[in-house]
Amino acid sequence: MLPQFIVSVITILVVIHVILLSCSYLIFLERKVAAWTQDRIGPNRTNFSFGLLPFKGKHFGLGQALADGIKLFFKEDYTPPQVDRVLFILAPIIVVIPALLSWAVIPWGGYYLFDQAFTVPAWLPLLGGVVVSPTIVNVTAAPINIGVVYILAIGSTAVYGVVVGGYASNNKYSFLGGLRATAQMLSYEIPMALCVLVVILTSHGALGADQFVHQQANGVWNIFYQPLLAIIFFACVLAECNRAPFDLAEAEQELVGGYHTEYSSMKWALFFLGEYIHMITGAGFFTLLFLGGWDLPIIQEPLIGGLGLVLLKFIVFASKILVLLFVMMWIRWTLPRFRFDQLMRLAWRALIPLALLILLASGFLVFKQHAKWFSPWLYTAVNIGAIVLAAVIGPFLPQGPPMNRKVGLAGSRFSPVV
Amino acid sequence: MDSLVSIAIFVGFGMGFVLLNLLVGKLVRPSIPNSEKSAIYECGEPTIGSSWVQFDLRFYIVALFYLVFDVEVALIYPWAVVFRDFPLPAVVLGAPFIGILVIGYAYEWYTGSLDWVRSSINTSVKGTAGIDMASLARRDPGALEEEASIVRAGH
Amino acid sequence: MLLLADQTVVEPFGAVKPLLFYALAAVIVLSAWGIVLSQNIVRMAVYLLLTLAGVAGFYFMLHAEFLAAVQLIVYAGGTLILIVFGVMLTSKNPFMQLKTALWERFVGVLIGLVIFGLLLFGLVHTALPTGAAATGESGGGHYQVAAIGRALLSDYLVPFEVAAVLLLVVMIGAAFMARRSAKQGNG
Repeated sequence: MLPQFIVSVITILVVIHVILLSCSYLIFLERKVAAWTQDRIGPNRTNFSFGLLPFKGKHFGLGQALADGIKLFFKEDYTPPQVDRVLFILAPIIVVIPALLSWAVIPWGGYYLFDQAFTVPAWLPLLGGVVVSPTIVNVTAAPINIGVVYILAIGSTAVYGVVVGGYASNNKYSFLGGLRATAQMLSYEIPMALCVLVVILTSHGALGADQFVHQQANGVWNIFYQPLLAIIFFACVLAECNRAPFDLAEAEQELVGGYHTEYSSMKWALFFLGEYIHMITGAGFFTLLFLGGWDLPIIQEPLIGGLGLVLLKFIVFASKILVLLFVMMWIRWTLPRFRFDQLMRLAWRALIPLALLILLASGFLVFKQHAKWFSPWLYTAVNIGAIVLAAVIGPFLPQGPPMNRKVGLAGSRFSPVV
Repeated sequence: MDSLVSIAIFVGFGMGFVLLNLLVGKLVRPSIPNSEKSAIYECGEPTIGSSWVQFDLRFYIVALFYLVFDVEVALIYPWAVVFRDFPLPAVVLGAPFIGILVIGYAYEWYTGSLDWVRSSINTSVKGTAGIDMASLARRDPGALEEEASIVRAGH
Repeated sequence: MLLLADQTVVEPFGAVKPLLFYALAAVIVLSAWGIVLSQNIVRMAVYLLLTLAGVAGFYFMLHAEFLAAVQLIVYAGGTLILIVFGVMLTSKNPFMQLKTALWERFVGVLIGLVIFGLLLFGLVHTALPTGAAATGESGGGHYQVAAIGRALLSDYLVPFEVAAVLLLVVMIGAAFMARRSAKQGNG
């Protein structure tokens, strides 16, 4: 128990610092990706001198992230008089804390072997004199046995920050943004939970985050068995962190800034930080379930090892997350935003039935797993079959009323009032 | 127990980080409020009415559907965990559970409760600002008939 | 699975455990107090969120991790949103001040006392487990969820299936409501 605790605390310290610092550089990366997509150069002028320090040499505009942070500290933070003050201040905190908490169960570095017994120095409070025997520990902040359900549970409370922020601002844009965010997050949590359910079912009923990685390291990554499911899950992750093309809650063209219209300075920055933390959590969750966590492709790395192996696994995990973050940014600057009815239609009429279909078919396959003809690649066949089935019978299902029919506005030049 | 302590440390760090950011900034940043800055931001237009509009029933229904699926999934997790250990009872006893919900979902699909745009008569043609049913009928008599038939068929 | 750690070390967190308990208890009691005293419906919802999260923390302390997660998913994530939406739907102004009449307070205190009495009665007449069973150090987590699954498929099969029928009823009710709102023209 004690070695686990020590490793947990070290993991917490390392992870929190690495990720919170990298968040500001993620914003820099986002701007660079935007520039790359739009054939611009992007931020390339700010160096590390800030007008005070002597700084020479190449900088690639990397000082921009720090300068942005410093600016946010010095920016005036006004609270409009019409807001609900308590909730207005509480909202950014409610955004950041649940987003952070999901990191607790992500298995960053596999397992670490304490190969020598040692005694904690007697002068330490609480733990002094305790003898630690050699043991294997999880390199994760909190080795909860029901890790994935925990992430879903924490994720389901993430909606409150946005909603409360929207309500507290007492602004029509904010209110609408909060409402949209609620409906959107609720709708996309269902297919997400169904996806997780399918993966649990096909992974021998595992629930702990490390078990999923362990199984994928011994076999094939889940994304090859469940390609469609992975796409559904990724769409849900994007919707849960309010990223484009699901960023209706903060659509700047219609709602100005949505739920954070009235926020400024550091409180606004916390909303932004919350979004990036959510992205990292979502990417980590995706890596965990579908991309084999810390597992290196092709090379069969040892399961348990010393510090070097743990660091290597951490870097592998972080690189996978970074690639996913890049994909998210790429999507944001490539796809246009959905309309709200399209958003709802996608969740309720496409993602949920597809996920249910895969759940039923995979359940049947798991039931028949001891049959002679069984092979895990049948899951892939099920996924492809689901797409084919949707394409074949989809047009024959009862459709809603036509949504895209144009109606001439009376009095306009297309429909003059006679 | 260990895990809870770790999570508590996490919460502590998070709170510390957030409060540090809010408080340190408070010491260095200016505060020069004026009436323009503190007005409700609605793109320069003067605000009309309260921002607390009564919202659409559809949001409530989405929350209701969500709750149903949520409880369902929460009950299925233990089922999924023991599936490998007892495949036969799990399938025989779990199938009615999931089946009933699939039937409910199909019913919702069939009645059109899952549509955000319920019917175009209600949302885009009838009643509200600027759209004149009479002139629409004069110009295109078929359009009204089409709308009405959709409403009859769907709802 | 391989893992986890040695069971030989006896509770290095003897001092931390009560501290954590009292911290969680303070969060629960203070936020519950806030719900009762607040007159603003959205603030009440936020305080209720804190109360529910605190209770989930208690479940966690008792090694009922799955229960804690379900508490967060179903109550904090779903039911609370539904309550807030319901209130906002029925009242024109969600920032409306909820005023209680004197007799309402009187009845409220009475009901509170009755519930407190019942809880106290239950607490006094329950044999609480002590020693190793109370801390629940063994098992937990995955085994617990498997145990719940086994129970659902054997002893509690009827409630399990009845729950499905109940959920179906809710779905049909919601579909009916959706249809009525579409007919009224605000949908």
